[in-house]
Amino acid sequence: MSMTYSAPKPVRPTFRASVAKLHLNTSSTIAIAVLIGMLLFAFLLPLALGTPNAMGDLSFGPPSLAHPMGTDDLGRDVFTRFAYGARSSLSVGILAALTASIIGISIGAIAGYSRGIVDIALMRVSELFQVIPRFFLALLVIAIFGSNIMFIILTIGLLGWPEVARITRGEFLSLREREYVMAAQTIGQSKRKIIFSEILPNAMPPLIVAMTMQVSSAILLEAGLSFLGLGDPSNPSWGLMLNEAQQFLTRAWWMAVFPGLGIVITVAALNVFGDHLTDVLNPRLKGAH
Amino acid sequence: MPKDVSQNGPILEVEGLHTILRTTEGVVRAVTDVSISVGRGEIVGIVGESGCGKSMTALSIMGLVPSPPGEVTEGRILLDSADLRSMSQSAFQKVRGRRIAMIFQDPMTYLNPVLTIGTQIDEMLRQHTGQNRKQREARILDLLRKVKIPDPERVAAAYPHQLSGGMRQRVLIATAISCEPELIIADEPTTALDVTVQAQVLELLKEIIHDIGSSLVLITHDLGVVAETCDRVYVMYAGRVIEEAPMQTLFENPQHPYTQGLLASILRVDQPVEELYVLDGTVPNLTAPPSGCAFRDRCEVAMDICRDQLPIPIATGPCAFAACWRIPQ
Repeated sequence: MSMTYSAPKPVRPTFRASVAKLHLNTSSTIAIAVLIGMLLFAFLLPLALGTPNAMGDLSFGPPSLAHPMGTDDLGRDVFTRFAYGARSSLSVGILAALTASIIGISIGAIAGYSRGIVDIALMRVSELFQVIPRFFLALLVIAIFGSNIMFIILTIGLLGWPEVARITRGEFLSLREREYVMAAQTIGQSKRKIIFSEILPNAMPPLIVAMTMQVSSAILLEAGLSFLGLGDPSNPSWGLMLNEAQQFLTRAWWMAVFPGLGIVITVAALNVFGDHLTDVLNPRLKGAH
Repeated sequence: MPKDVSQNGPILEVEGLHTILRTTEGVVRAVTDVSISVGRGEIVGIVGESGCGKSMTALSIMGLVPSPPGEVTEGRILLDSADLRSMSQSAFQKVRGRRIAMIFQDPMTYLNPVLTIGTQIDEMLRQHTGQNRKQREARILDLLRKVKIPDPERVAAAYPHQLSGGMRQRVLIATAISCEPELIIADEPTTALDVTVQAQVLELLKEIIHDIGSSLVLITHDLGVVAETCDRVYVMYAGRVIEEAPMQTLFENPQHPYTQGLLASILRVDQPVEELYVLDGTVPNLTAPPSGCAFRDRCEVAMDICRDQLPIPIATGPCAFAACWRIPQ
């Protein structure tokens, strides 16, 4: 008897295949290059540079060979501070998004899978968080408890989870009714396994987009907080640099432009990257090339 | 060949099963007073139209009636004399897959689209066997070979959408037999397949059941499938079992008018299509089941008594009964 495939050669889900797929598109290639560059820049370069708060003799020095991004009002090298700023902005962004995603996915998954009273209770809690304007609650919490960087990360993370939870719950509500979930039940899989290994992988595409959005919004939120002077003053971040730059905007444009560009480029690259990650993780597209 | 059920005790015994669904329109009596027994090594068919309670019976046995809205309200379900209904959730999880496995109608939707075939079979093995990774990998290839899938290494690494319908159904069968369960429940296993593939899959299923010595409950609306595979048949109508008979007896000498109608409406090669018998009407609404016999409105030989009183099952032979007032007491 002859049994034929309906599709071309199946592809093993290897890392190589994923990377190959990632490079198919120009915009995603650029986004990934930017993100990798930014990560290397943020986590390796500060090791080679001096402390970000070392003051030099030259105040308001324009960009030059010695100071590629100029110097600020206190004579500090903007390039050094930009590199340190990248480190705090990216770690705030990534760690806060991770916090938000872990809490959001767990709560959303439990709510969507259990339905009923559990769902109602959890969703009302998430609504409580959602009706409070994120930025002002962050302001309040940091004003009261101080602006330690870990604290900023936790605050932003704790404020971001309802969005992720909502999306996860919606996905779970529909996916839990799928037949393969029933099939998993018939082979005696536990609830925990069904939630995490059967349903969650299917819910990933919208969640990945949500997670990259969380990273960018956390970076922006931290920049906003720092801009208002509520950042961690011992860790320069891009937002803090913008805050310091605002009073000298007409005298030293380089103090504002470089950290501003850093935020714009990173956030844009993250969003593009998120879009492409969903394509890569879709098994239907994997076999296509 | 029909086997004597009493020989070494039935593997599955369902007694007086009642399953209801609470909907906004009222309580649907999906399964009413169903009693079924399945002997060891026996292939038992459950036949009936859509909506007659076949699948709900299967789900009730598996303890997977969606709740809400469904609920098993009454009855005993004995697997090898152990009551499944009184079993704890965690104990039941060890039974599902390990001792009773299920094969479904549409193999596309019952396979998880984001996991490879190998992973999905592996889930069953990881759940129920203490084998290490290497042993499980070998077992997966072995199982795929057993269901006659060519190039098992490639298929194990493939995703469900890369396989044809027949291949996917074979994968489901491979998953179901991976722990060599004592009982397999197949719910319309060939309905979604092409006719030629249907025959292959049925043949394979029969062969495998025989090989691993388990029993099969085959749920279908297709009497052709029953004739090809089953030893004994239950006919269901409106949530009740209305006739039971060994396969040969049922086809040669159907007792209940509904069964007679079903058999008469099979398309045959030796008979012109114009003469095809059509069973008029549909299964009654089960939110308000009619009094008396549920089939009386479609029955050509209904009597007065059919309107008022539920027909009692009458033995019509060894291992055979039918619930109809027309059958002489």
